[in-house]
Amino acid sequence: MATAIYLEHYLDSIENLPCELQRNFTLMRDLDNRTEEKKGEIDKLAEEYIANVKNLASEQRVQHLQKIQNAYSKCKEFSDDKVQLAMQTYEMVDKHIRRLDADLARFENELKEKLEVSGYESPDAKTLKKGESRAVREKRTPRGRGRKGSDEDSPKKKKMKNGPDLSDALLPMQPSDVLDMPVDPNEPTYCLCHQVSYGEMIGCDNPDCPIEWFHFACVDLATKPKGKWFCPRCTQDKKKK
Amino acid sequence: MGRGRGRGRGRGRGSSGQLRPPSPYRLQLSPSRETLTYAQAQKIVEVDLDGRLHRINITDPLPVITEDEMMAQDISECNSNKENSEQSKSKARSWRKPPNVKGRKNGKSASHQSNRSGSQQHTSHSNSYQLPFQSPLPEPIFRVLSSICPSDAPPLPAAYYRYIEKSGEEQDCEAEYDMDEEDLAWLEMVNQKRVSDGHASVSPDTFELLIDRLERESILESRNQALSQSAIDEDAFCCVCLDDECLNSNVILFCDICNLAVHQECYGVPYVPEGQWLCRCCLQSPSRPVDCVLCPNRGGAFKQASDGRWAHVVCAIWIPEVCFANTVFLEPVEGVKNIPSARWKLTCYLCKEKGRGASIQCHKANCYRAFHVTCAQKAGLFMKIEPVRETGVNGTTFSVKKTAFCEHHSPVGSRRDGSGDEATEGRLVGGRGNRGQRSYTQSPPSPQKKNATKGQKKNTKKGSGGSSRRSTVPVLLVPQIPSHRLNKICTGVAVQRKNQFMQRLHNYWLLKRQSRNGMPLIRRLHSHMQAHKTTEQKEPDEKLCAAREQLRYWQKLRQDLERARLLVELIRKRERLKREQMKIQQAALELKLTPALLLLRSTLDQLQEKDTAKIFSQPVNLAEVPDYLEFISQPMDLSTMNTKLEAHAYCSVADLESDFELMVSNCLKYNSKDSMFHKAALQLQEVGGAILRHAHRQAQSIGLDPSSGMHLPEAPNKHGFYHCSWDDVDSVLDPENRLHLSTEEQLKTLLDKLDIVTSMRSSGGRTKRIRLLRREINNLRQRMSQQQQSSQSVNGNDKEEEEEEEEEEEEEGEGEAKEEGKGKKELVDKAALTSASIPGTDVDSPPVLELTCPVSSPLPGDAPLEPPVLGIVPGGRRSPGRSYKRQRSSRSGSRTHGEDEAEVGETPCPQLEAVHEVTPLGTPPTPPLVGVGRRTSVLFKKAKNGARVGKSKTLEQLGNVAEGKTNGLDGPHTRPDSPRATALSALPTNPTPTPTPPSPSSHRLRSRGHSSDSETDKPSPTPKLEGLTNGLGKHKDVSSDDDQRLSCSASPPKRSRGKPALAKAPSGESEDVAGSGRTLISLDSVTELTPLDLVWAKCRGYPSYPAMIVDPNMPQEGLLHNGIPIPVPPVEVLKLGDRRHDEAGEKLFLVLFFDAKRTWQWLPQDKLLPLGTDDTVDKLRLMEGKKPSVRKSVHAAYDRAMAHLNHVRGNLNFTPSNFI
Repeated sequence: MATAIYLEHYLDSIENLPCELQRNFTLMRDLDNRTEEKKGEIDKLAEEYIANVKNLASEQRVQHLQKIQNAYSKCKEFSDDKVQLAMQTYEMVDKHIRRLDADLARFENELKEKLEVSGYESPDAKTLKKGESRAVREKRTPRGRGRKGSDEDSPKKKKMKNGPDLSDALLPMQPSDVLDMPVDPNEPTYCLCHQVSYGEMIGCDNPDCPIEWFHFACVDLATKPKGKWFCPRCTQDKKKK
Repeated sequence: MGRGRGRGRGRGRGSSGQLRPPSPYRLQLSPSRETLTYAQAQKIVEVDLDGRLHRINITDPLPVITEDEMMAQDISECNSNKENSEQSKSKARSWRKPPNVKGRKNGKSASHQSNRSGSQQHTSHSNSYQLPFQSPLPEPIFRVLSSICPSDAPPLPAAYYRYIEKSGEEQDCEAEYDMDEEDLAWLEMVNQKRVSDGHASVSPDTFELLIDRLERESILESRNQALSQSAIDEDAFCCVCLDDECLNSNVILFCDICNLAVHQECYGVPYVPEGQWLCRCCLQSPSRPVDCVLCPNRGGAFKQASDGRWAHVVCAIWIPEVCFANTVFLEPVEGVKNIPSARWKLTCYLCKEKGRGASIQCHKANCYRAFHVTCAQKAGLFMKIEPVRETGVNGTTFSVKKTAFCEHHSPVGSRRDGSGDEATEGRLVGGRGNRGQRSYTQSPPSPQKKNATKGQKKNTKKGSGGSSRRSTVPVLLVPQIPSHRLNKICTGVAVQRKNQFMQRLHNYWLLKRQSRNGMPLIRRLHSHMQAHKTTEQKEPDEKLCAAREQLRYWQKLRQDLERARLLVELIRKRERLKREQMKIQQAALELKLTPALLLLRSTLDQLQEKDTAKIFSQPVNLAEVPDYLEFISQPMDLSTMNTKLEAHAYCSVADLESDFELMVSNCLKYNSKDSMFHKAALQLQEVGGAILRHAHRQAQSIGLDPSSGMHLPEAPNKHGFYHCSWDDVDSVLDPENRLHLSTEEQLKTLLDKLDIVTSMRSSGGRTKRIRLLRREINNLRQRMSQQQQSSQSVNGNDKEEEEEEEEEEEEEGEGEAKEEGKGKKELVDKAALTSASIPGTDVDSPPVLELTCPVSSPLPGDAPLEPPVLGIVPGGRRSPGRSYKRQRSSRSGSRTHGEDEAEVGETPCPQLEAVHEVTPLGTPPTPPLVGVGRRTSVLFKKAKNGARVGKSKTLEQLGNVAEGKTNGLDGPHTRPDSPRATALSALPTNPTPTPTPPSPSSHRLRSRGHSSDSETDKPSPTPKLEGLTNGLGKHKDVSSDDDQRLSCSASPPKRSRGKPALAKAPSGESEDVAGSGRTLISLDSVTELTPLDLVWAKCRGYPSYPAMIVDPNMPQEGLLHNGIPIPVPPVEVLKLGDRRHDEAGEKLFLVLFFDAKRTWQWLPQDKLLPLGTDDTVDKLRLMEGKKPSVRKSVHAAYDRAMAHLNHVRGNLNFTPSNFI
């Protein structure tokens, strides 16, 4: 439709996404296979070492261990690559989502404007509006966290998720279908409470944090703290060190 | 959750054919979320399958299966099922054993299977497991089983059922119309006629179908005419209350004929009827419009009065005299007759019609304007109904307060401003002028006004409809259906004489519609069409709809993306965990392959940490010290060790240790004793030893195979290293018990025990034992080093010397002991003396015995007492001092003094020896048998020695400190003098002993001092201690002391005890003091304790505290000491002193503390230490307190004491120390 050329553009842009996803996943799978191979190799080496260690001179031992070490560093490389790939993929998807959100917001605004311009106070439009307000009220949380991933993996940036995001504004347009977004049982959980993300979340500034994201309420936060923030676990670990 | 189900199952089924690694999360083991640790939970994905939660480890590979594969599998499964469903069942069960994710799912379906017949089920395990071995295109093999009858499927949960509305097309295909009795009767009649005419009768189904078609046609028709009734108005308002609020319990009803909109409550319709609903006037007077008796207006909601006339509901509500007989149904209207004629006569100021209806008046008190209720509504006057709760005598009654104002008196803000403030108060009836206008039309009598009010299309429609209804009685709302359409309708129906029948049917239908006031017979169709119409009406909205469709599409896209994001997020998490796992694996493997290496590495790291100065971290730079290799054949350093370690050159901790030792010894060898390197090396040796021992133990407990550097096949049984009782420790502490061991072994055991004890929980016993152990260890070390030395030679090996001095510094006690040992060795009897110096060790080492002998022989009296640490130490000390001290750099004498004295005076010095010395007189807390007697004796000896020395000194060099110092060289000579001196002062017993023993003791004490005044050694040491400043006073004391001894005690040991007898001679002494004058006193204050001396007094539990010795026998009237009044001890104190004396059995001094309260105390001599004689001593005492507050009070007391001293001395020869 002529109304949304940019949406058409968006469609074009997203056309490649599946392919790219697939490519990335294949790559990861490939890496995985290689890692497994390496692991097998390591196991063999280790067995060998255990069997022969008594007869080996120290240099040989060193050599042997070095081999294992090298295999492991290879494995680690692969793992790093995989993580990197996953993060890239995530960012890619996230980028698309963000763009779509923006476009949709724009689209919706245009739609509204058009309605106003036409000045047609149809009952339908009215119900639509009513529905809107209702939807806002009923809006369930799962969508509310939509934004959260957007700045994920860019820990340098201030990590704050704005709970209600653009997409929320769109939802009301068709409350019925959008709210139907199925609850994904696999949805990743976060925070100390192991719940899915909702509301405002804060990211731990420790890049190796196992949890990464926390609900404000769960870490007793009401507002975004200034400066770096570390989750309770990481704080503890840090202290230990 | 159910959503995920289908997919998950499909996947599970599909993948069941693949090889799957066993998963730890079995069905039955599936851990509940609560029991999962966080880390576990992170790795688990929860899936809801068939209503059950499954947790799948994310590390389990989930094979992806294409649809084709799945189909193939399904087919094969079906085959297997058909073959033998029973078997497959049992098999399935057995197959379920191999636990894995999919297995679980299959297990699930297998359980389904048990409920269903085999042929119905689509999953089976028997075959799915063979699938991997089959070709991708499995050959279908089947056999038809005849005997199987499908059993009923079990009822599925409600979630499986969903109501799907039929689409319009579907509905079009079937007849929705249901015949009623009327239809049946009609059809019967028609059929009878037809039968009589010889035609086939028409079946009811056909009838229904035809009627249905007619309905549809009519709807289409009416739409085309665009003349249909207005749709349900979205913003309809109740024409009673003029409110559009619509609650579930109070909906707005629309009359099916006149489209009147009223609230249920406002019109008295408690239940919404099924089917059509008509307002009263449409129901009861459909053909004739009704007029309200109470107002001139038409339209709106009417009710009938009991007399058959009609009235508006609003009018009935507002006119006070009128009411409803039934307040629920709001009918009939009653009380019209009760309306006073005055009200009838009122003229409505709005419509100005006279004599029509009853009016109400403005509620404003002085306003008499009257208006019809409906007119007021029309005009939008302020009319408010609010419920009022009145509490009266009869309880609470609810009534309604109605207020209506004319337009002049309407409350501000509500006048004529439409619905602006409808929210402000309850029901603001008059607020909606326009609504009121719309609702009513005036009745015919004033028809000209009627049209004026109809502005809106809707109203026109209604109005015209209404009027047409009124005038042309049968309202032909039913559209005529053209005949060609009729033909079209009946094309699908086979009826004889179709046209005739259709005509009749059509007529019948028309009549039926008319009888129902044109209401459609199929309601759904009607509303459906209406909705349809509305959408079509809004042609411009089509675009919008399209846009919405589009938006929906985008939203879906967005959802998909969101899902993708979730997926990727999960993948990311998984990969991170995998990476983590990899690292852990590596560490584990490393531990497995090279445990020894790791242990050694960590040990070496610890060692490196201890080398804070990085002295040993790098190889010695030969460019800097070119001669290094001349001394050191095998250089070693930590970095070299590290490289060796990495090259697997070390197999065990012992290897590492040897290199470590090598490194340290190199350093010790090459560097001079006083260099920091030397010191550092010793330090490192100390701490490194502990680390290495720990490593040793670890290696032992781990069970390492030295040849492979790996774990032993079996873990060694842990002999409880840490299970060791105090008894063990104590037994080791007793030298007797380790006689059988070599010194090295002893040292080792001792160190071990020390480690153990240190690692224990802290307790009184622990600290004590640690102390003891340390002492023993130090002793052992000394002995070993001495042995070394003795073997090496006595030729004053500088290095060795220095080394020892270094040690001394670090561990004073040890160092001293060593030096003593050395000294003794040389002076008296090298070998013998050394060993003897160490009390703990003397048992097993012969030299000790020898030592004691030689020493004792010269001094019969002291000999037995000699062995104790202190006693011996001095002895040895002195000689080394002489021979070696020369080479040593000088140190501040004062400081050494201080230290010595500290030791003597049982300061809280941490050193073991010091402690020992402290305890002597009191019951020694230490278990070692060795200690007690000797230690005590030592103390006494010291005192004695001091006395002797003092004597000797005094004799020769009265108060001549300098001399004492200088003539260190002729110490030996002076010695001889001292005896004489003592003799002078009349000591028959001591003369002989004094020469040797005393000097040693003094030496010992002054070990450091020696270094400073290298020459003085023998004679001076003692002097310096007490007599640096004053030979005289000392002399005095001593003499008196000796006198005392003479008189009191016979045997030397006892004498030593009795020595404190000083105090006993106080009277004489005091005289002396008086006689000798201030010099005496000042001098005196140092060593020997006389009344009026200032001392550091040590009470148990307190740090040393400045005090003054007071003569208990002083005159009761008081005493002036140099013009300073001395407090008189209270009687109680004196009494207490007597008792104490009896208890202690020794001489006690009465001391007066310099605290704020000036408290008294009785203390033995060994608790007292001269004050103000030596800065170092004082300083030490001042620092003794552990708590700052305590130190402060000691300082204060010290100030007081010094002030006192100054006063007494008149500031002549004493300047207060300035270090405070």
